[in-house]
Amino acid sequence: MAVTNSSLGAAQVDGGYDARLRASPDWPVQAGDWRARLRKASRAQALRYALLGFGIFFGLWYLLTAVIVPPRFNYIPNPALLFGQWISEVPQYGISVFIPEYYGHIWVSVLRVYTAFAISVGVGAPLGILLGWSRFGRNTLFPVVEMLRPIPPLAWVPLAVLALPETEMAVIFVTLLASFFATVLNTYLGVRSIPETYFRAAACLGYRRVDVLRRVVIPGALPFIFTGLQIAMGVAWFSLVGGELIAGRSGLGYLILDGYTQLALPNIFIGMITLGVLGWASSALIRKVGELMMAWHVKGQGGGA
Amino acid sequence: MREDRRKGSVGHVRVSEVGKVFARAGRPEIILKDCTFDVLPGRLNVLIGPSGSGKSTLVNLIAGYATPSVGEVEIDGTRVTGPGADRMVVFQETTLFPWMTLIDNIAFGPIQAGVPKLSAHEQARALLSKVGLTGFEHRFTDQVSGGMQRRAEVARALINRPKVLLLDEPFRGLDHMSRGLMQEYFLRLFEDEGITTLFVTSEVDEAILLADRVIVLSYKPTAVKSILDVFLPRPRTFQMQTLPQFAELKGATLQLLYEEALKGFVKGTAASAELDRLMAAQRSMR
Amino acid sequence: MTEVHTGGGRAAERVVRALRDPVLWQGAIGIASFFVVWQVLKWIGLFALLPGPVDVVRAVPQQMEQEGYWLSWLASSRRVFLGFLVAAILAISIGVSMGMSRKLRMAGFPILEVLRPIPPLAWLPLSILFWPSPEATMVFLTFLGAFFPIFINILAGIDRIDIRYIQAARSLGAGQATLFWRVMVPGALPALFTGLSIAIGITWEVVIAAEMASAQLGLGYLTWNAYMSQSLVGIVVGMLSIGVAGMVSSGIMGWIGRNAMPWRRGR
Ligand SMILES: Nc1ncnc2c1ncn2[C@@H]1O[C@H](COP(=O)(O)OP(=O)(O)OP(=O)(O)O)[C@@H](O)[C@H]1O
Ligand SMILES: [Mg+2]
Repeated sequence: MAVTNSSLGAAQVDGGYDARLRASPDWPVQAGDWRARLRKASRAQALRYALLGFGIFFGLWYLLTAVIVPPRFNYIPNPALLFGQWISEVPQYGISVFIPEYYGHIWVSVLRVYTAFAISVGVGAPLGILLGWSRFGRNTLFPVVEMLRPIPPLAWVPLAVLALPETEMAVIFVTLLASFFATVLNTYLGVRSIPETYFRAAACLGYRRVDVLRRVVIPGALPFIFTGLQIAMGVAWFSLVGGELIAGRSGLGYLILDGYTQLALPNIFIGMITLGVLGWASSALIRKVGELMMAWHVKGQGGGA
Repeated sequence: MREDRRKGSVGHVRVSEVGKVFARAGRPEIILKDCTFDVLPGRLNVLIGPSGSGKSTLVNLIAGYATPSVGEVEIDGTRVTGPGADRMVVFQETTLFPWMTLIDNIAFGPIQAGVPKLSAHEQARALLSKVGLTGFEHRFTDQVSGGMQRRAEVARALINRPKVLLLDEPFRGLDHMSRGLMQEYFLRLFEDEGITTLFVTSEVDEAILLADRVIVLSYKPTAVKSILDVFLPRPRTFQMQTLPQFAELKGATLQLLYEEALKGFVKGTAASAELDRLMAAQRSMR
Repeated sequence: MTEVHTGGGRAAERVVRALRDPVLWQGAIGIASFFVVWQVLKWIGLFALLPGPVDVVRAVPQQMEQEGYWLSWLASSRRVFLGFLVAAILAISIGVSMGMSRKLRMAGFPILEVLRPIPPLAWLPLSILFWPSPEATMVFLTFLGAFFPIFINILAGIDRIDIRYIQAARSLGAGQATLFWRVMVPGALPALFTGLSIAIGITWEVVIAAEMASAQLGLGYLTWNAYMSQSLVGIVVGMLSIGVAGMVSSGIMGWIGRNAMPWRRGR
């Protein structure tokens, strides 16, 4: 057969064929060569475009607030002034990186968010597991959760302020509501996503309830739980600002509000940007922890089996 | 056109000295090495090889979704540089558009080619009845069974009257009975239309039942090990599986595949890893 | 359970069976115990300020008759609708352009990523100063709240379209326009509707807070007003109204989604 012959022929010049393969553009080459350089160049391209984008953004900002200034744009400080104030040792409006009060506001807000987050996870995750795992628990509690969930956390502010003894508690309560529901719901979905066969297998192996919880339910729901935690962290910051604006006496939301009442425009922006950075950092933190936990978990399973 | 294709003069695929390397974690992995074979026009060419040998990769190269690292693919003397309407692919997973009904899926190709919608739908309806899907025209793809999806997918490819039909394990994952039925349907279609076909499978019975020629691949790296001609009469029927000729061919193919499978097994394929794992699990149970 | 239902006898039987369904009566137990616990807490004297469920139910008709109640619904809904509409139009056009053009994405995406983590309500004071009317402020805030979820989801939806659909369409001879309208758009639609339904929820949260701060009308203002006059019943009725409004909007969104994506109906 002709084809068999040709493949025999190829076998004799094997070295030649390997050389052709190695010369092909698909062949990966070690670091330091032209491909790596090309990849780096493309990343530099992304960087260039990002810089271009930011350039246009800040350029427009400066143009509209310092050069042309259309009506009402005088309420937006120009970027040079804003960042100058931010790093000034004697800021005009009392807030900059050198002023302890700035860190006081940050500290208060962070403390509130993390307290609320801890409570909502501590209560919400077990509740979510209960809802997912026990049919009776699900049937009785889920309707209640679904009944309360549509009420936005900020709608609770007036009630919380009046019913709770301290404003601080009201702000934390408002902050934790949304993250609580996010945690409950995602944990619940996580448990429900575990295939029924796993539970049967566990029953066959004679696992006790604790073991099922520890070795089937929690690991199975973990990816969903972490999705939930990320959402929870996001909405916690979201609601915190609302709570602080409406009922707070301190914190970054209050800093913004105060900037508004005193017409200290740079402070409004400093507060906003700081909130953005803190919110972003918190989400990144949760994501990292989630990745570590998940990797650790996979490794643990591989070793244990 | 149609007459030409029946006589089998169109759709000659020549795969010459094709090699393919993938980068895995920065390291080269040679999947195909010096593959040379022809897909003969008007015939049902079957490509068989162990799982993971690079059959889908070959199909992608012929379809033009990927380019070979070395060597080239030609169709009727023209080099393949990208996908085209002269080659239609049916993948092992469904690629019917879930957002279209069956008839819209099937009429998609002709409408793109400029056929008026009404006559495209008419053609589609005719073809649907040929693959036994009359009455399901206006179902969405998720609302019909897996077997029906496969048939609709074959119909969507055939309606464009491609020079070559490429099928990558189209019946994989179907249960035994529907698989048998699908093979019958497919034989009738092929014998009616006579379109040049490259059919990829990893099932020996399926290969011999369908094929005019069976191209057997070697493993790690993948090349053509041997080509067997199947001289069973057409039209083929299911009953031919009991002929002594069939058994003989099956034996020969199995022998070839067995040698390759053994090679792969030793080298730590997924299957051997699975076995290792099972045995380890058994030990720990004790 | 799948019997053909014909005749009144069967219907009655089905009602009885539905009533016996544990999901139903256990759910009823759950909700009932929630209200009982609430009422009992009230009697015991915990949260003495809080109105009991009975008080709330009694007060509902009177609260609904108060001046401006239905106008508040109208005002809030209009703000939500306007902000949402502008957000959807902008987010979809920007998301699609960035999904299709790599350069545009490299230039524009980082900026949006920097702006995204700033909570929408943090923009409130600035918006009050900047926009000429409270109405514009509130619409702007709802816009901010809705924009990012829609944008992020449509971008992810475009990224996640299965490459095999694109390959298949190209094999079948689809040109750029067809590829866009017949493959990319329907392929990204589920993700878009995910984004839209998240967004509609957020718009209600934002509008409530904004109304508490700066409106003269609206469900948030209604609640705030009740707070100012120390009417706890009013607060609770306001909250419930807001909850219902959010649920109705999500319901409408879901209905639109199901009709826009008939192929996903059976799921
Ligand atoms: N794009 C890619 N990048 C890296 N490796 C790939 C890529 N595509 C395929 N491979 C690898 O090439 C090998 C062959 O894959 P291919 O899908 O062609 O095999 P196959 O014979 O079709 O297998 P199966 O029977 O499972 O369908 C596999 O080891 C696969 O992991
Ligand atoms: Mg394959």
